[in-house]
Amino acid sequence: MLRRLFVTLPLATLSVLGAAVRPSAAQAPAPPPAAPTSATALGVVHDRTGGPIAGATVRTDPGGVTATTDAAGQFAIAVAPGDVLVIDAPGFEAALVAIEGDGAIDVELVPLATVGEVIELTDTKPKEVAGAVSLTREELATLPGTGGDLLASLDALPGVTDPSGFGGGGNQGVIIRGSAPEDSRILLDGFDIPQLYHFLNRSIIPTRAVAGLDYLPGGFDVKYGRASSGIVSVTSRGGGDKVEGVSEVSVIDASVLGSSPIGDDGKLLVSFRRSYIDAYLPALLPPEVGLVTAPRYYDGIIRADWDVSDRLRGALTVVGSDDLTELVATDDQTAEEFKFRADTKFIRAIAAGYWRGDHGLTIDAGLSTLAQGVSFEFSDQFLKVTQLSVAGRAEVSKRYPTLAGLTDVVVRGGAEFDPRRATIELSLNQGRDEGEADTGMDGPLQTFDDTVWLTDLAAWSAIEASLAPTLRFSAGVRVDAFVRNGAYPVQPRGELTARPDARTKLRLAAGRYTRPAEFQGELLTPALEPESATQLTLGGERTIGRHGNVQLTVYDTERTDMITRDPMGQLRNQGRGRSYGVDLLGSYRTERWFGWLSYSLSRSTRRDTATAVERLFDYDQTHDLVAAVSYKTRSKRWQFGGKWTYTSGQPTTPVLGAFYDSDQDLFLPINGEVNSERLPSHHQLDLRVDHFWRFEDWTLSAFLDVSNAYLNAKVEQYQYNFDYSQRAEIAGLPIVPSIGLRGEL
Amino acid sequence: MRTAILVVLAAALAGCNDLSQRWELDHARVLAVRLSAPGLAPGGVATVDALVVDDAGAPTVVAPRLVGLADPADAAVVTVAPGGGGWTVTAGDAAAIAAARAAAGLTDDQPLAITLGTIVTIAGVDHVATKQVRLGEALVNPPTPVIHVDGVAATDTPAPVAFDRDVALTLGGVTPADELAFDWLTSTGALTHSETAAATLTLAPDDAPTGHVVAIVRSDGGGAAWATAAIAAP
Repeated sequence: MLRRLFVTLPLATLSVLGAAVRPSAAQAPAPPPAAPTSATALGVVHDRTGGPIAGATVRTDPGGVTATTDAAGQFAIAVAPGDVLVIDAPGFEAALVAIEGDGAIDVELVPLATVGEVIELTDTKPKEVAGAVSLTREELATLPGTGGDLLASLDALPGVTDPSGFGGGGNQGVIIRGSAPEDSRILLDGFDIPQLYHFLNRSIIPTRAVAGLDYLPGGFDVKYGRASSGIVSVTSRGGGDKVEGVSEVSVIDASVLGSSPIGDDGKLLVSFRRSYIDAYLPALLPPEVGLVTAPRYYDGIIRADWDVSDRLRGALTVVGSDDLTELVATDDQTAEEFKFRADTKFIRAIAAGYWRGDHGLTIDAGLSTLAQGVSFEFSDQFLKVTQLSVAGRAEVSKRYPTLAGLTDVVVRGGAEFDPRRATIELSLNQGRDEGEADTGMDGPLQTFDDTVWLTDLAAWSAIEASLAPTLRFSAGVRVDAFVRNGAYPVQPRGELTARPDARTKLRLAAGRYTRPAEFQGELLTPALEPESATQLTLGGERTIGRHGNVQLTVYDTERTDMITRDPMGQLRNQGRGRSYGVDLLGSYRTERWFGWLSYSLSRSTRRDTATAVERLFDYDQTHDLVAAVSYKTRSKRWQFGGKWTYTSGQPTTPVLGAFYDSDQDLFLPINGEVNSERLPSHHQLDLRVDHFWRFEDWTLSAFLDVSNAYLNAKVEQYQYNFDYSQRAEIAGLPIVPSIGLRGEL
Repeated sequence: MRTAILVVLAAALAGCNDLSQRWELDHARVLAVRLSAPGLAPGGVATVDALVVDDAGAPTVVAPRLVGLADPADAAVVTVAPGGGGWTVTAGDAAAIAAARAAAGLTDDQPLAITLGTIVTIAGVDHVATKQVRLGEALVNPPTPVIHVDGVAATDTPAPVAFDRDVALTLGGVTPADELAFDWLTSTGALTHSETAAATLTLAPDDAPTGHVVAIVRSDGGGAAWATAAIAAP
């Protein structure tokens, strides 16, 4: 049985016990003899629509006291300090709830996975911040326009931009609140993964191998570092208590996933996927495009879980990906001049352990290795990188009913290390830096052939406590050590949470965040300091009726020590910037309807030097609107969905003219003010239809997903002619249909 | 990486958009700037002219409206002045050039390259171009070529060409060599191998039946020479 954790607590605070490994009721320690009780907890258990769940079993852990919900879903149970509640009901995922405060406990259970659409929701309340979003896999996997791809659904979240174009070619990662992709981190089970997307925005981790996804756009906990903007944290999924098998075939790729229990204490999940768009895409393109090959990718994930003892649970996850993008023109002259090949592959293994002791003591630890290879060729330019890493992290947490006059106190401390060895060989143009005009592949050439050692260390500590029944704070400090750069930034962070009523939650967070100077060419300049950001976030969330929820977040981020290039071409920490805006997220969810409205209004500006003119970031996006709705028929055989998006165009630097270098026979552009123009704004409609056939032992489903249904291709970039007297729009794919079949045991 | 993908796709899609190709004479621009002597010995003098094309695709040779030094500090080694309906460039004396060479870290046998800025007016619109003059050594331009259309030297009379047939464009008076670069341009039809000594012109039925072809020869030493020819299809 899959275990999940999802609770709405109007007056009590929810805790998730561990990020990399999450204990479940079945995996929780066996109940010791009943402990002395000190209080009675009252609560109600209901389903997603608010309907009461009668007959649910409520058990204290480690106390071992049990109770059963009545017809109204209500329960009363004697609890001792440090107890957590395990709630089980037939047909529903189990939930695990920490008891904090004196208020009534409100527990929402989610139905067990039927066709694999329901996931473990990784509630992130301990590290939840204003603007954070967690959604069920069911919601994300069926969101139109994503091809059922969980991570591609990130684009629908407020504050997220993906201007990567051409289906994510370049795997740039996630752009959060106007900052560059390298300012944010993508984590799998607590450790970095080098890339998030394959070509066509396909996640490298299949939806069914994901247990949950936490989107933390800013103001995050001291547990997370090395990011000056946001965090995307993905938790892999363990196997279930029964044998499962899922196979999916679409026009883009095919995948197979299986999971099975191993003995009484183990579970195994294996997934593999391979694309085959390279087999037919060239034949579908117009002849004048003349490509003879196209991208292809593999990915796979294996996860084994083991309950070592009643108190200790371990998991081993191995994830790997291999992307090859090779473009060869059929025209001989073009093929000779523009041969392009990029091969990116990585494999990461993660061993994680979670231990829970008495009296609220927990230890969450992980050890991981990463092997990564990047090979890139463009005509006579090339880049070859191999990287090996052994990283580890651990956090110890202890809960106290009272401490130093405070109530319901949680004290945490942790540390991590991430030494890496990178062998870099390159002869490549230095690339386009933030704000620079695109020079194609004609920029200044830089060469390097050496081995670089990077050692990043960190330690943190935090305390959380209740100041009043409706007011809670957390405060902590994180110290990073970027050894190669000789930088040791101290980053204090804090948050205040208020719950003025059962339906409303307010959060105020502030803190300092840093990103090490380890992105691409920054590796070649050890003297750089990390980039810093001071974030201030104010957010509110309110439940409306039984089915609605609205979330509003205001943020202001001041950036300092930004890395820019001086007139001599050297990288220096001389820039400053600011990002501010409002994120709005509303949702409406019933058994059959799912509505979604996300809107971001933001502005990101910067000065590259103290005397430079203020300009927009490359990734500034004024408006970002996503409206989506899906409907499931009463028979549940059909599901229809649509998503409409509107986004402001990406800033761009206009070319005002050019002068002619007659000796080189070359026109050199005269650029206007940096990012003083925008590409055209974009809007598109994505549609999705699912149909299900349910048989005795298995389910077959078919889907049709059409991205950009009315063929409004997005302008990705301007292309100029040789003397910059004319320009044309380079647009993305006008329409991306995907059709597929899925069979599930 | 993304830049590279865009570059490749842009190259692959080059034939799918309406952007002008380098060999197309379809809008006004400067095609070449020439000094009568690209390298000057101390005290040597050169004049400046430019080959331009107008919006109709007709090439002409004009004198720049203005010529100046890109770096005013170079006035110690070269002077630029109007005269004779155009502009003259005069090298300084040997001592000044030697001093400038030494300051630039050049050996005695290396020419001192000075960048000139020019403004050329085409149909009332100014166009900016740069040109280097090499000081310390007298250099000459490549010989003036003669355009051959299908093996026949072009004259003042439009050379005959035909639709839907490859027309051979070759040069007389110039021997291809490593130090020479070639550039063909046309106001009608399409060119292939436009950056070699011999190009091929093809006129589609919807192309203009008359036009011009231009050949420019550039040398490593900053020299330039050109030829133009009118063409006409029956």
